[in-house]
Amino acid sequence: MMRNIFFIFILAQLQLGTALAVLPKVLILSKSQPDFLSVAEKIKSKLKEISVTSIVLIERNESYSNFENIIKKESPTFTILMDNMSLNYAQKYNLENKKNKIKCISIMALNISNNIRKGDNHIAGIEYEAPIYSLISEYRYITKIKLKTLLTFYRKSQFNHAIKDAKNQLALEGITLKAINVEQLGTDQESINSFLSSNVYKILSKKDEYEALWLPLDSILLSNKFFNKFWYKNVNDLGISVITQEPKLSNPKLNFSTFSVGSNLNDLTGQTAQLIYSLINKEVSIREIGVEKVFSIKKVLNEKKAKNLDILHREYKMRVSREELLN
Amino acid sequence: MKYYLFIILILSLSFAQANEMAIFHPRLITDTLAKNDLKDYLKKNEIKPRLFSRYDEFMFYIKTKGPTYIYTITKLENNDNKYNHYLVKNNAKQLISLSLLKSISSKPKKSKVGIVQYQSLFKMKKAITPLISDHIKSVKSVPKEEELIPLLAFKAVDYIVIYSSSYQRLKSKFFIKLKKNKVKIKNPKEYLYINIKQSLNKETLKLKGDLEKLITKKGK
Repeated sequence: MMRNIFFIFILAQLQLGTALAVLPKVLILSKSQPDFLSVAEKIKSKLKEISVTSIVLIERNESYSNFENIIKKESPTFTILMDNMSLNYAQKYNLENKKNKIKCISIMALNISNNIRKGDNHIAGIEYEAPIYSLISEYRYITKIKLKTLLTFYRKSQFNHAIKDAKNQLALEGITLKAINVEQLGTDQESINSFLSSNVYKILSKKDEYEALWLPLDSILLSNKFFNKFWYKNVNDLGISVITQEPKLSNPKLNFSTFSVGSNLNDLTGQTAQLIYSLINKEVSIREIGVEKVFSIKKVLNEKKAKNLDILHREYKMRVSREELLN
Repeated sequence: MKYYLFIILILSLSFAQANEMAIFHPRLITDTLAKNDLKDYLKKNEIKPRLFSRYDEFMFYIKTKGPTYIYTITKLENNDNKYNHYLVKNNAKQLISLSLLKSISSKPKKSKVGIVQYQSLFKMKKAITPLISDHIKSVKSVPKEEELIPLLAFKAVDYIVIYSSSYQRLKSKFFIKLKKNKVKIKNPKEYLYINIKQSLNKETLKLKGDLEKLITKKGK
């Protein structure tokens, strides 16, 4: 009797072992901040039918050798990278281990189309920034202003690719992007500062040449110093409608941006899980995926600001409440 | 004091036991007319409607609350609560497929398709395969119809599948040039099911009949 039970126990263990061995292994490298961890947990839960998923915390100051150790210990089939640091480490790892590259999906890192090294066919990703296409189509839906030209400022050294991409997206909706490179005098902050000091007011005050200003998510252009010196006062003095990819900037208390969209982090977990599913089932390759846009967004309208600027469509309430219901 | 506590307890218990109907449809939130008709009918019959247009939220509710009735476009997945499902109506809502006007001329052998999620993420491909007369390479499903047009704009899919009745609404929001695709939708009908914990009796038969009438009255 005892022997039988023991035998069944061993058999069950073996079967469990086989079942686990069949499922591919997915490693999620997350920071311990709640935002990141909650995304990681949701992805893990969505993947539970199709993979064995583990979450390993990797902090801001983690060394590269620790990253290497984690990869060697876990030996994952696919790795999900959740910030710019782990994306950089993964690229370094693949350069150093050409015969043993890791296959990764990068999410929540900034400006990845510029940061994923060309020629690394083992790393694909989802852009964290909500696409300008979604921003502009949602904004136009609630405004009575006919949008033809959108004005923006950008750093060419970092955002050339993103701006070209934005121009293409806007062209699909019949909108022209007038993009001003702020690095015309040099790429250092001092040069950007002097360019903006002598040009920003001149450009912004030609209000018949554009209908809205788009400020891209750029840590330099939106740094405290530049925000206060060039954007906040001018935007309010000249009565400009600003759209951004950071919902916090549309907080009525801040009184800055009129309308913003951000990535819907909950739905980003579904998008990531679908990519992993497609990779596991060999429907697509990492190279085919390349850099994807985030599909699902959340919207924030700064109603107070929009009313002051008198730009709202007469049906905006119906349109906004519909959106709120959807969110 | 104890007496009041008892009353509150009883009241909250009786609220918890009220009949609830969880309703899921990808178009439900935007389809105001259908939504209001259904809500009015249910309220008259003392059934509390819970409306969902996002599959994730709907399934979470089913799992955690186990409502008496579930009204939706598919049979229930993971039927742990042992619901019986009954076909209420096969509705003649047309599905259409859309692609970019300037899409590549040589049609790929296998297509990437975008659709609103109405099954668990990894079952969507299996769910739409019988609908489409085309070889499917992969499926991208999104929680809302509005998010399908960006999929086309970003060339993440070759075509999307939507309800024909949503076409005009989407056109008012996005100016991108689209064309109705030649991909044949083999079975454009939509099946509406009511899932009930008990078997059909006089009361549930009436409910099923009334829902049928409600759909027929509303037209296509």
